[in-house]
Amino acid sequence: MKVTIVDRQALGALSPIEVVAYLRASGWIEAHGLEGPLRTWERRLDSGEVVDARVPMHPNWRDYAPLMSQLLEVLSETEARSQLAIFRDIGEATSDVIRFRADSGGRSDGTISLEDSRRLSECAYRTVLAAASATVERKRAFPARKPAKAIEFTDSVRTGQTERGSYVVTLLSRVSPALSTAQAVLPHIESPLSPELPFSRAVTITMARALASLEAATLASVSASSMDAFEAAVADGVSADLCDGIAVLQGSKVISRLDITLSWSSARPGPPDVVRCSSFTPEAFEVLGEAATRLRERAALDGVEISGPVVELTRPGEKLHGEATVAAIVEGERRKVAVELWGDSWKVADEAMAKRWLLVCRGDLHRDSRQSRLKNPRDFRLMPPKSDDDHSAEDGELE
Amino acid sequence: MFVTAKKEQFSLAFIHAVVTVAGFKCKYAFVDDDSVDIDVAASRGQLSGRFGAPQIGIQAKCTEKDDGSGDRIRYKLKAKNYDDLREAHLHIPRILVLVCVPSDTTWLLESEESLVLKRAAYWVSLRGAEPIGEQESKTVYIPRVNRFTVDALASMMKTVASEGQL
Repeated sequence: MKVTIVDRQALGALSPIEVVAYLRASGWIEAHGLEGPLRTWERRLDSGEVVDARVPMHPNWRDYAPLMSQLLEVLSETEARSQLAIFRDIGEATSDVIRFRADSGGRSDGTISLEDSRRLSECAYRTVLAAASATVERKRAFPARKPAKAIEFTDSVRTGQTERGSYVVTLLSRVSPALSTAQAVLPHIESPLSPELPFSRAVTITMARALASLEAATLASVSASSMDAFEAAVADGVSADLCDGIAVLQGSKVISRLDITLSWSSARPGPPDVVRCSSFTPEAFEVLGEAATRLRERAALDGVEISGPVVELTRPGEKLHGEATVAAIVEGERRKVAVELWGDSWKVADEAMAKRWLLVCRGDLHRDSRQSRLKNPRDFRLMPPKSDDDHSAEDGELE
Repeated sequence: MFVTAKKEQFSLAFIHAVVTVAGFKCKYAFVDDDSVDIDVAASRGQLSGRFGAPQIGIQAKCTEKDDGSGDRIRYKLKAKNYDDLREAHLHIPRILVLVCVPSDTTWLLESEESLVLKRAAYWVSLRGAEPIGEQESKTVYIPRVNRFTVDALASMMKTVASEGQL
């Protein structure tokens, strides 16, 4: 479909940074040594001909929109793509794009029921919020009141155009461009941008890792008939909230598969080692509903305090770093809990062991079939033993 | 066709002919409401300068009221057109080109030997001109020496390539 975009508002909404990011990613090269408010970008065609694309740099100047229209025309002719497709891609250039694609089993007219559309949107929203929460801190389950930063981020995410073929919900998470891209557009400005990872990008990375881990945990739990894999996946950002986000599709009788794909903003390349496509079937929706319940049950073990004698303390190297094994009461049973220590916390554990006092600390207790481990340990202190029972674990058999 | 529409189309044709003979690209503007009718652009490598390949935006007008006397031509512009042309913050410089046609209808004479478009066109840059407040129109004065010719257009484009503005 050949369409010429003439709407001033739409054209004016394209920013120079987005356009430059798109041109860079599409193989255009900036012509250097030229002055003025128009920047020239070049591209060599297969025929050997060199084409120029001119980018206006001042969005608030009166002729910005018509010049953007001219630019779209050049790009459309050069790349043999519709202006609409290019317009969309430019708009996405400074955003990470997350696509939730629902396969409705053979129906390819691009429509789904209103109820399934609502479910898919709900799935997208919950997944984003869960990933944002896990980016703030890792937890098995988040309370109803999510971290403020996660809510703020989720509110900033935009829904893009739906796409034909299957039903697709497209989310756009704006990411500040890499310094090199921004400085190409604003060379004389002391960039307020930091080389540190923007929170929005950190969320996309967490989401990618969590979804890949969730997909693997789902397969593992089916074959092993155990929820341990989900427990281990909490470290990658999996949570009951994320499981619930996918499981919301359980109610659909038509959706036969959910694919979630992530694309990095072309203005800020992402890490190449991150898996960016995860898929879930209706069988997985059911398993994830169960996983959410189990993780919520165990969420009570987040931020728990343990106390007990130190039965073993390691220090592999010269630095004050090692691991303590604490014989603590967990869920009514005395268990050996591994706690990683650094610096002052190692000293406290060493003193506890020497004095035969109890080591007290707080953290997130994780259990699998092999061991218990306290993650994110903090608030270390010593406590005198209340009775001889406190040291009975040193002599008896423990799990 | 109404006379107004004929004048508009004739002025575009006149300017298009000059631009074409001067060797530049002539494009009709798509985006409405911007007071630019024609974009004139040099091809890649055609004109070199520190501002890259030059472009000029032209607003075309036509009048039959100029009798050829005096050293200036008066023309009344609508307030919107005037403001669009006097704007200082533009990526591409703009000019007004006024095509003056005879008061009778002998605008075009053609024979086997020649094609004559009557009568002449004149140009002016209003960049940075004073604002007009609440008025609905503004009379502008175009120097008669500013004839819009092939050579004049080529000279303007060279200036834009080297100076960035007219």
